Amino acid sequence: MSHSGAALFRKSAGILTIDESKYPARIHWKSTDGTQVHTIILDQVSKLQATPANSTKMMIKLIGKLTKEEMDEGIIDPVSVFQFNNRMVMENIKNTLQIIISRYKDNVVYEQKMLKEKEHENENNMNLINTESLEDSLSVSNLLSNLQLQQNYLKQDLTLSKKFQNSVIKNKLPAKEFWITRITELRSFALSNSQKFGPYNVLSTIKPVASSDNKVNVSVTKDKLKAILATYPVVKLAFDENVPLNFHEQEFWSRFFQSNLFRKLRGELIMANTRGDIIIDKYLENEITLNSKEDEHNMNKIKVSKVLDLKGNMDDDPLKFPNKQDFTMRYGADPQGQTEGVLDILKGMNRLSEKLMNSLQNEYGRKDENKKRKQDELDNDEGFDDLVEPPKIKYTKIKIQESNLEDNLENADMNSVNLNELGNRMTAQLENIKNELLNEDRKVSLFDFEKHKAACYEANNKILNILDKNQSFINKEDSDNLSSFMNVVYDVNYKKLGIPQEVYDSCSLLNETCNEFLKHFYNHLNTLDPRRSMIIRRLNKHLVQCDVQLNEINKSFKDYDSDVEYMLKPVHQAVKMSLKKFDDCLEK
Amino acid sequence: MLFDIDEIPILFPYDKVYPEQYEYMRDIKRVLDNSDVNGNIQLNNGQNAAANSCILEMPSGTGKTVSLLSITIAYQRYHFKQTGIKKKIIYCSRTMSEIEKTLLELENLIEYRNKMLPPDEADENILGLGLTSRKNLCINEEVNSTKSGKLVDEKCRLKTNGELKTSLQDEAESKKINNSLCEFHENMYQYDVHNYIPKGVYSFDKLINVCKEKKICPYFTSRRMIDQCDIIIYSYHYLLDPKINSRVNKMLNLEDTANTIVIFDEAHNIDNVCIESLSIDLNNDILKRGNKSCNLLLKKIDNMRQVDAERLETEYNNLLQGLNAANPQKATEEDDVVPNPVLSTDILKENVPGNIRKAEHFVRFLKRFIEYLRTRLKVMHVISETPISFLKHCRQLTYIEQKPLQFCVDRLALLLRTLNIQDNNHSAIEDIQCLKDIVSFATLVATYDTGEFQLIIEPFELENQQNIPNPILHFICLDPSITMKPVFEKFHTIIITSGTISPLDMYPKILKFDPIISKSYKMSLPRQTFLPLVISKSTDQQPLTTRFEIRNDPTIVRNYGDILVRLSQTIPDGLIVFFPSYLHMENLITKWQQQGVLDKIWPHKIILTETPDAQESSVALEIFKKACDNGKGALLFAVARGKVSEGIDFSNHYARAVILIGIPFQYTESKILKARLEYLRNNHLIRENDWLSFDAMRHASQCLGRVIRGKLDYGVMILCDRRFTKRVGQLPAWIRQGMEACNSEQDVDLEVGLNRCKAFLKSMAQKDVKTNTKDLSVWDENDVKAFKAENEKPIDYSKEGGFLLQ
Repeated sequence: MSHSGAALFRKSAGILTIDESKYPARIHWKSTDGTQVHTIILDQVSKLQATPANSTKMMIKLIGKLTKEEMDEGIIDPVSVFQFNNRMVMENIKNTLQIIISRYKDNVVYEQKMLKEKEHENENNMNLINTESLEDSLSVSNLLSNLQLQQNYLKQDLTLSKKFQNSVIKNKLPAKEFWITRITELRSFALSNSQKFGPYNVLSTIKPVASSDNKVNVSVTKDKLKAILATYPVVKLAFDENVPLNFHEQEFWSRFFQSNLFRKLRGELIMANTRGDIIIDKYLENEITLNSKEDEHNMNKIKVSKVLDLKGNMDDDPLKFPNKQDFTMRYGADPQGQTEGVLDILKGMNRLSEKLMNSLQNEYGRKDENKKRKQDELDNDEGFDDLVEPPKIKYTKIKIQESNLEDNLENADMNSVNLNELGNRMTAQLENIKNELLNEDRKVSLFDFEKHKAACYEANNKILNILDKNQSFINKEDSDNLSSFMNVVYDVNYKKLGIPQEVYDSCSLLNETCNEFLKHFYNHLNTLDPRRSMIIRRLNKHLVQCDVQLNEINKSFKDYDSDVEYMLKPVHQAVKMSLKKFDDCLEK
Repeated sequence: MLFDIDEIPILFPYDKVYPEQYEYMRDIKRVLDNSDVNGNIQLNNGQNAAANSCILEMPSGTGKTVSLLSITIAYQRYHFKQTGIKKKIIYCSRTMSEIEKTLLELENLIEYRNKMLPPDEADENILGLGLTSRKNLCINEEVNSTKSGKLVDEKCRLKTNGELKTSLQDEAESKKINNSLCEFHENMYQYDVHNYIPKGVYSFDKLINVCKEKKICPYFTSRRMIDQCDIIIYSYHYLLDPKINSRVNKMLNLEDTANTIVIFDEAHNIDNVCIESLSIDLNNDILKRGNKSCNLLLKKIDNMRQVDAERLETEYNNLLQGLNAANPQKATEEDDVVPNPVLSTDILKENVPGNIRKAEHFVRFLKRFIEYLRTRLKVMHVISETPISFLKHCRQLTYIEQKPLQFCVDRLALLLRTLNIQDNNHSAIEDIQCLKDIVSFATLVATYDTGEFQLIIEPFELENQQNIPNPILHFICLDPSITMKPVFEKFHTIIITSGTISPLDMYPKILKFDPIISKSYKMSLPRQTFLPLVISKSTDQQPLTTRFEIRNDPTIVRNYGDILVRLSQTIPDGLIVFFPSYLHMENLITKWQQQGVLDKIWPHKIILTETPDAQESSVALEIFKKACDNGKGALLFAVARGKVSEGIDFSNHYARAVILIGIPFQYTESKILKARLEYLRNNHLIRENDWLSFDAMRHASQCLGRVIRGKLDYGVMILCDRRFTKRVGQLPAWIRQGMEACNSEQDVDLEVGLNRCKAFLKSMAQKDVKTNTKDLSVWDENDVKAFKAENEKPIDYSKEGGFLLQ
């Protein structure tokens, strides 16, 4: 613990003190007569040397750092040597210095690390929706206005983003139109991407490990530090008050992990001789006041149901004066005094658990659940479910009017139908059908095989070929891999057609875009809502453009004329059809 | 469903009934019948023979409360229809939580009855209320803001008494008084007593809400309406503790005790309550404060002498005429200022001795007695003596006789009324409270100078803390039957029941009664829903035990920690851990923290503990339930004899396992316990070890019972102590039955235990597989009829010349 002790410096006796309360920390040495003073600022020290424990001499050597210019000028490193006459004092001072100096050294490393992490941070750390009011943030209007969420979704789903580019960016389909048909996908994406790491006991995951050079290492991540700040308001208070005013972030954390505050928050017993940190440990008092405030708040806020009210149980009979409990049943009554302060640990655990649960209270739409319980209820309502007769499923008879049996069944009950008559009618019907089918005169020849024999064989071969090819491909590759199979199909398609890939791609893209517009067009047209006329007109314009594009593409790839035209024929027809429909509607 | 037990139609608020419920109700019906017959005979003879009592062990989670309520309410209604006499039901439970649960069950039942019965027969005029302290019901924020129940009582009395009202009406006097009337209490004058609240069943929560709306006091509502109730539910202190039972009985207007059915539910601890109600502790602090308030009283008497000497004079004159004449409060409905701690049959009905009639004399008498007690506390070693020798010594030293001591309580009550101290000051109230404790002690010790009582003066808390004197005087009652006796004499029908009340012969022995039925019911289960496991060894085959000598051994501590970590990884949702004592809990938790055991649990469960602050613990319980509800899972550290082990249910996912760390033995070095053990050995021939083991196992089984709250509920019961293997036989029959059904070997090590847990939980999590064989664990109406036809045939006496009544 000792931060001061007698030491000889330049052969004169004096007292050496380490002042940690200033930033940066420093060593003061003052001679006994008070005439000589020597100060070393500890972040300027590059090396610390001490005589080994088995040597008779007891000395500590501090070697200072120099700036580049000073080095160039050839100034020798400033060296201070302190001599001690008590091994204990020296060990204590050495240990303290070791911790302080290594702390400053780590500063540099830490800052570099933080810079790196910051770059990553921007990517990962995005909250797409507000999970505290889930109902609200998943509503249609909020999803439509959440541009960030939409962007992220597009980034993830490439095919969708292609569609989006073509229809919205290139062809000016309103984004709202695009998304409104995809609300469910958007919602599920929002939900699956907004899952958070739940609150947990951060400090229990942090274990200081002593390394070989008598240094205590603590491995933490940025997220953990953040979690600490979020969970413990007292740490946040200390952080805000000291960083960057008094010391760097890194120094703050290294001090914190060595402090008694850390031990207390972790739930360890603080022994009288454990070394703490003078600055951080000042906040132990703040912690107590903050806790009592928090406790009071919790007591008032959480309504305890009478079924769980332990205090009420104790107060049930205020006239009772029973014998005092023996010491094993009271708190903090250990005869050896080992359990002093345990109560704080127990309370600390409860408090932490409360905090963890409370931070979840409003997440994912739980708020409404909490509101539900107002009066006392028996928990165990479902406990006797086996005593309750399961509700019998009742069926309501639905009568279906069959056109054929109409007159017969309309008024009659199902049960009272004359089965015979039904049978007769059935046979009559069957007879009818049979006659129809067997009537040679009515037969129409759909396909004359003999005429097109050659073409049929050819087609058959082609199909078999494709199947063969696919089969062999799949056998080669992993047969489970569906995407590779899809690729094969695509490949085969345009290779067989004999057109280059760009042409094929642009065709399929156009096809998709047209389909997209068509979808929206019919979506609105079918509602027959007069208010939609504006958007329908606009969509119609887009469709006209599509028509133009289709014509263009047909023209530009005339070399592969037949194939391209053939491929785009259905969509072209659909576009034309819808244009016609629009015109019809206008006329009407 | 509706079925008959003998001639009584029972409306059971479920569609089916468990066979054990039917059996339980039938047995209770027999007891009720018996009391009817015997009761009438007794009335004719004009003498009180032994009551008709029964002691029944009904496994937890089989719907004990609902069956009890169904049969008694049905019996009450039927009896009323037949004879016009309405039987009163007094339902006693242990804690307020349990009372609240019972009230909720009753509400359900009455709702069901009203739905099922034709409108002209409906029970709409049934009134069911619970009784609890002011602290739990008070809605006056000024009063209820104080933490201690005693203070709330005192403040309430100050705000509701008649004297204050009259003096407030007088303008001149009202300026002197720094107090106001309670508006909720005042509002009650606007209503007639039977109009405070409409008929029905009110849980405490509901009562508070209704009263808040009406702006009347819930406490006084339930108190004043209690004599109109058909069923009253309260804690069994209210029936046993003489300080409170005289007041409650007065409110109840219990004249017709023959037509009262008394039920003691959760009665496994009833002997302790009996003993507690006649025991008291005094220490230096109480004596000091008592002395202080004596000085205050002297000052007040002096003041009064100058201002209103007449008042003191009347008090004296009244006392000459007799105590009852002097005490006008007996007529009113207000509380006794100082409740008499002595059983009503033991109160002396004589005149107050002359030397304490004058107010000053009495206070100086008290001061002398306090001084005597203070000298008695200055001892260096433990003293144990009988009340007789204490009184003798007292007389020799201070000339204080036994008789005036006996009247202390009544005399102080009278004095406090005369002085009418309207001081709203906390510390003064507390000081007077201490004085009340001292006079209670005086009256107790002077009344009970028999062998069933003992005085123990302990100079130190512990043997090895001799340098810290902390003397304490215990006055203890050794025989629970003293408190029970008046109850058995007064009431004709007494049902004593609990989920865990094994062995059944122990209770009649120590409470001195003769049950007409004592029975332990088995649990009929379609599949084994709980798994009792005795884990006696850890993975390294070291025995597990919390024996006092080796409980702090690091290996044992670590092994227990290991069990906890492994189980918290295995068992879903809620997990409850019971320790034998607070001390051991503190010890283990500290060590586990140092060994990093808790750090390994945190990722799986959040950790909560029972703490000395009851309110804080309740909040912790709420958090615990919340964590189980939202799937995080939680672990609760509690103490086997503590606040959580009684009266708090952990149904379904709130507890999938309960772990007992060690056997919850009492602290055997306790002087009080030693005195009691000696008494038991001498008077009941019960050996010390047998009693200790019985007491530990009843607490253990209470803890185990927390996990199963219904037949659909499932959970694991883990008993971690090697010593359990020998004591399995002392567990309730239904737990033993479960052990046999699970075929669990008597002791397994941790690994085997974990595997069994895993297998069990996995099979339980599956949906119930429907089998073709008929489920014998639930009966519908036809099953009940079939059972009756089979087993309850009228006995045919025709061969012996008898005939059958149609």
